[in-house]
Amino acid sequence: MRLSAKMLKNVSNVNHFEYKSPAYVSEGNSNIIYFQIVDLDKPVSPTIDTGTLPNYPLRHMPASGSTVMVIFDSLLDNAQFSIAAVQPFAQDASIWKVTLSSAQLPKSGNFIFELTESGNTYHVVVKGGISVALNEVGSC
Amino acid sequence: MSTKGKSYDTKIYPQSVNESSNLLTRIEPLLTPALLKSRYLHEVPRVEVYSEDELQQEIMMAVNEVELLLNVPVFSVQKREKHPYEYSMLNNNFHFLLSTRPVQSVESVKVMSTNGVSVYTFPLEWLEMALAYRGQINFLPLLTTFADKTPTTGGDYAGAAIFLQAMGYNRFISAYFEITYTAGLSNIDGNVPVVVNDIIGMTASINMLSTLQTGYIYGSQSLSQDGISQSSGINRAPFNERIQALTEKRERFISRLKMLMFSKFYIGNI
Repeated sequence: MRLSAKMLKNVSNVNHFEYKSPAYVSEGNSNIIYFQIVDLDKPVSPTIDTGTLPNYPLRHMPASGSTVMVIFDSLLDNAQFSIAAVQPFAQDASIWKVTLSSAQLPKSGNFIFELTESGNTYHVVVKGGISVALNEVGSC
Repeated sequence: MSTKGKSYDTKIYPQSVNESSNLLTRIEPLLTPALLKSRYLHEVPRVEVYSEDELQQEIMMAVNEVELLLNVPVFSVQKREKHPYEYSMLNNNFHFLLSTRPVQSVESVKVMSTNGVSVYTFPLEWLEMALAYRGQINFLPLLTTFADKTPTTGGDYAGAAIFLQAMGYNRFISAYFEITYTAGLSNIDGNVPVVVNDIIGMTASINMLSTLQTGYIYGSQSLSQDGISQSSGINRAPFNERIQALTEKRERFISRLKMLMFSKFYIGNI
């Protein structure tokens, strides 16, 4: 099992969403991030070579009672934070939702999620999952 | 992970800027797969063979390549390095030239023994950070008050005095001071100057175009009207001109940026 996540946008229900990476977050607003847990070792069809990064890997449906903690990393201690993700749709356990308040601003780049399933914890880095638009763009 | 120490509170890019307006965008989030395609690979045939995850992979590889070419961390890092004590420092105050620039902040300056015990910690108030962008940190203990601004001795090291005596007896001690500092192209994690994104995009495009053109076998093919004869012309490098143009532009940008970030070194025999 090689877990990863695909970022989702325009999510209205379990059947209507688009795959689009990264998730865009804007400073000063509350933001919602959706992602789907996938298993990169499983292609959509057994006849398709999985490769290293398959286009459409199968989703991973965590067992009932699983939890996901999303960690937004930073070089600075005071800029790191983590949020418990929730499952917005009972019909699809692979989709998770994170709600960020206007005060919670992640950094652009990777994010990490920790899936605790059946007593095991999987630590997964999602490459380039977040892109943050800042208010100050004149200098850094 | 860390907290920031002392800084001069100016911006890293553009260099030494104190304040700027938002009228011009100079800073943006790291390149995304969609931006990579729209800025550098617009209308390039067969680019759709790259999945979004593979584009993300190309960007990640390009950032690492650019860090190597620039010799500057694109995303900030905290470094820890040792510097020597030299006798001449006593007469000229102390100053250090740190290896990675631009320096954003200094978190600590210590005298550290070789077995990793902190012997003295110098107050950050003594540091002059105005030239940190070029890697230069000066000891300038000229303060209006010295209250609580004296070096602190490591409590668990009874023989600390020998380190002070060593400064009088030795002209050179190879690894005396330990400095922990933060350096990188951007003060804001995850965001980079637009020009740096440009270099990253050009690097990723050069790599991708180079891969894509290996799939081209025939540059042209023709079939006679009666179908009896046909000919094929081989052109296995249709993107060479574009790759060359991008490479030249990238080299100019890298050279300029290295100069701005004091990562370019001139060596002479004068």
